Amino acid sequence: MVGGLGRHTASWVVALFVAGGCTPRVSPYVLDFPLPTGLPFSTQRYRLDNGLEVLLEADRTAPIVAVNLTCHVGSKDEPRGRAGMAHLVEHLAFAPSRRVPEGVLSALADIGAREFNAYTSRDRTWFFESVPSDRLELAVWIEGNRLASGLDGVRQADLDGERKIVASEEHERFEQEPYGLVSSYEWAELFPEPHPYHHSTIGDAAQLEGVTLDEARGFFRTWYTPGNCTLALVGDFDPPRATEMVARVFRPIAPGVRAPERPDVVPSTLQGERRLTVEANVPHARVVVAWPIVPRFAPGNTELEVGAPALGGYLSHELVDQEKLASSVSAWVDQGHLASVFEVSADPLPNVTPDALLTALDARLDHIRALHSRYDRVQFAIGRARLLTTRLYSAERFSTRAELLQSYNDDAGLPDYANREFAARRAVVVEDVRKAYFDLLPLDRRVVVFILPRADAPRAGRVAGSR
Amino acid sequence: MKRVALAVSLVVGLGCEEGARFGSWNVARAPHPPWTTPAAASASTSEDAFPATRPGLTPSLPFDLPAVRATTLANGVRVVTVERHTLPIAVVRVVVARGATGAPPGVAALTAAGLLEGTKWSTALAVHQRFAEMGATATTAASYDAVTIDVKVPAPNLRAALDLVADMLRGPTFPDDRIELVKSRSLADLAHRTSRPQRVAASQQDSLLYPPGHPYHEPVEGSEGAIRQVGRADIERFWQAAGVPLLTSFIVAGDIDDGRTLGMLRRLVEDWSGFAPVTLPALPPAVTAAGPRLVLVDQGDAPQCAVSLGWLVADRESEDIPALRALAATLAQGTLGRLGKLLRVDRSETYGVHAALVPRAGASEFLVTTSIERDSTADALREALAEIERVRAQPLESGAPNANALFRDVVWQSFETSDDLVAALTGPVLRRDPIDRLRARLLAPATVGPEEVQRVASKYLTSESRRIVVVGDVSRIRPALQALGLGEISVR
Repeated sequence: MVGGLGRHTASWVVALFVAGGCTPRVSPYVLDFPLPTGLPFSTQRYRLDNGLEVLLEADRTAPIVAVNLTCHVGSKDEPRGRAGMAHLVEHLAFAPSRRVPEGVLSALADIGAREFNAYTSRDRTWFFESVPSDRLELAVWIEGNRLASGLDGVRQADLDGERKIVASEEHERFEQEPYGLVSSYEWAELFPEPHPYHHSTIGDAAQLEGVTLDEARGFFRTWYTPGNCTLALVGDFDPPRATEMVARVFRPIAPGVRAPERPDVVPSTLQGERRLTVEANVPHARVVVAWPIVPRFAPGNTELEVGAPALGGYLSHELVDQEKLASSVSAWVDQGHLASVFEVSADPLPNVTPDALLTALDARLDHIRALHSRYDRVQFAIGRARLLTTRLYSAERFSTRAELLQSYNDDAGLPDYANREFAARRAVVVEDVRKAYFDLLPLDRRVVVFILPRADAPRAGRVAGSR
Repeated sequence: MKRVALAVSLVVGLGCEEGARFGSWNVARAPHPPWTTPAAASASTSEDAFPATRPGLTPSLPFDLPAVRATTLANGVRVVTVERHTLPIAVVRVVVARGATGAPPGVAALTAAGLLEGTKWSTALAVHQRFAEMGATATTAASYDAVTIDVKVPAPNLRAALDLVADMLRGPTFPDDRIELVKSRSLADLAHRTSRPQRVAASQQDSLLYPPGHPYHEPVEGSEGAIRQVGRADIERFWQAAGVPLLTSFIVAGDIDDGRTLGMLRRLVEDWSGFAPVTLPALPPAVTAAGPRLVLVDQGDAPQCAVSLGWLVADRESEDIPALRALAATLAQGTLGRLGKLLRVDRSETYGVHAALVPRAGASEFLVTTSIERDSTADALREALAEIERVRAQPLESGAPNANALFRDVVWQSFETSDDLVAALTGPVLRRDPIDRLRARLLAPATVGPEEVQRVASKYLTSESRRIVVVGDVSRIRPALQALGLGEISVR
């Protein structure tokens, strides 16, 4: 055992070895170093009468509390013809209201909040801030008012202004970015209509032009209700006092309508292989290969998640270091609640055509399916180590820990799912990954995107052809 | 429970019997466990409406700095440690106090990258693999002032990580083939960066504010030509002067034991000897470069323009620095601040505006950056400049920064995570501040008032010293920008 053990590490290391000793299926390649077995959290979860779910995770190591109000609504829940509505409504939820006439951003700034913002994804909408622990009640009140107000203070001018700002955001974050629109083209192919993931979260400016104030308020009152939201507090607070505080603020909020029921899993209907050619004003070409796969935490997903960095490492070794065909190769899983995506991205060197790189890539993908290839045991162990420690590192900041608890709660049904997730990742062996590759990454059901540099094309890319 | 029912209904809809299927895989999630509700949450309340009264602001909590321990080893290596027992994570930063200002363009950055590419005891692949096996992230970087090595590692593996870092410091080999690889990566990164409008604007702004020949005129990473010219000999020469104990500090924070960490470093680097540090060359005077005041960079038919306003302000050690930071907070913080309110909230012309002080030796940079819709750029720029003039000329009554809030910001950002701690300590460690001064710097309350903010705005943000860069569709924006009369225009 190596040194450098701090106060908490002794028990952690013991737990590690206990866990290792009890695991019946161990990958033949064993690393020299101890790796984390879980996250030492103990999250309290309960529900108020009006349906609001509450997660409390006390950690007194810094005088800060992260507040995260997650509404279980994203672009997957938008009505047809209203792509981008969830994100637009997220913007409107910062507008002035009767009790917060200065608007939410100013109110949070005035109480010394930091990291305050909101995000909308395909699956969820987060409103979040970190505040000094003595300002927690104010932050909870501001978030409670956000739900209680029902966009009561939003005027037509606010809606018009936010529409322009969303357009500006789309330009800045997607249309001005190199390769910025490639992902939206790719996902549209991966999830054919009417899959809820077919359109992007930023949406469609033309469709947003048609959104009325009544529609926006109706969407808010349908989905941003206590019964469809989860409030998480992580950091320096006393749980009994926080419980009482949350009840005092949130309990009087009317339950509102019950959010419509939605499917929990929606597989893609993609058939066969789709090839897209995208032209973009970018410095070098890129090849992206993507498969629609099972959603987060569904059987097979963990195997692919553990396998992705190993595959990326192997492909990088083969195609970058050995064959000198690419400047970089990576593989990862883009997780979703209804379905996920496994992606491999490779940038060919200037003298290599994208077609030639794809051929080489496919040859390696075939190779790793071979039963006796041994390449991947080292890469596999390293990739898994990276996955385990990345999760550990992301949990140190309270705001990212709150987001993590919310995602566990939403996708796995348990806010403190971390230990099970770690155990599941540790239990995966190479053969599991190989089986998942076989079953879930078929070469004849996938999307291949060739991004070709072209000076007169938009930087973000435009579709030049598909087949 | 709801999810099980939903899964079943989905399965029925798909005509399957066992569950939603992906290939041969059956998809179903575990049901939610039963709920428990604490008594306090279900107690009846006398109110039946949302509390109308906002809770009052409470007095600030006292803050305390975690114990920072600093020791200098016999050979001059400084060791600064901070224990923080939140999660079993250790964060290490090695600061070598010589950077791009002490080297030809591009050399410091390539040297930093080359540190990971092999040592006398391990090949490049072995170094990368070793870090990966211990679950560590290892990166290197160069700034104008330093070369840094950053490692984050599960705390039980700290010793092994320090061992490898010591090898990198004491015996980097900079093999030719790996240096070529590092150079090709740098060129690819450069190409990627220069395809981003905001990065182009930032790079142009540096070259406008600092005259040719000044170290800050060139990016730390070097231009394409500079990168191509760097050879292994340049890198070895730089490292011979920079990689010496007297210029080297270790900052270690996280789930560590101060004494044990110091003991490890004593064993690993206290017998390391090196050349005596060479006095760094003095920086040339930082006066605003002569030449155009408005530079337009053409980027086709872009729907937006990246805009950068820049001024040279005080030296980073100047007493004006706190007020300049407060001025940046007053002017723009994304959606907030005077310019955030003007351009985003009132005019809806941008996603956000940012103002920042970039502290530098001789003369720091003060920057305001944003992206504006193409056809609104000239109008927005005129309004923004008028607002800056108002900040310079009129007393700041509302919107002035709250000193207490600024103080809190500094404290939180410094101490929430081990990464934050290391980042907060880097500047003082680079300056080799005594530990007491370091504590005083970090804990000094911000006492900047509105008068001070206005004073530095008036002193530094003059129209004469201002430089403007606009990256976008020049043919569409030039006429309106020319009409603003902002001075000599150059198109690049």
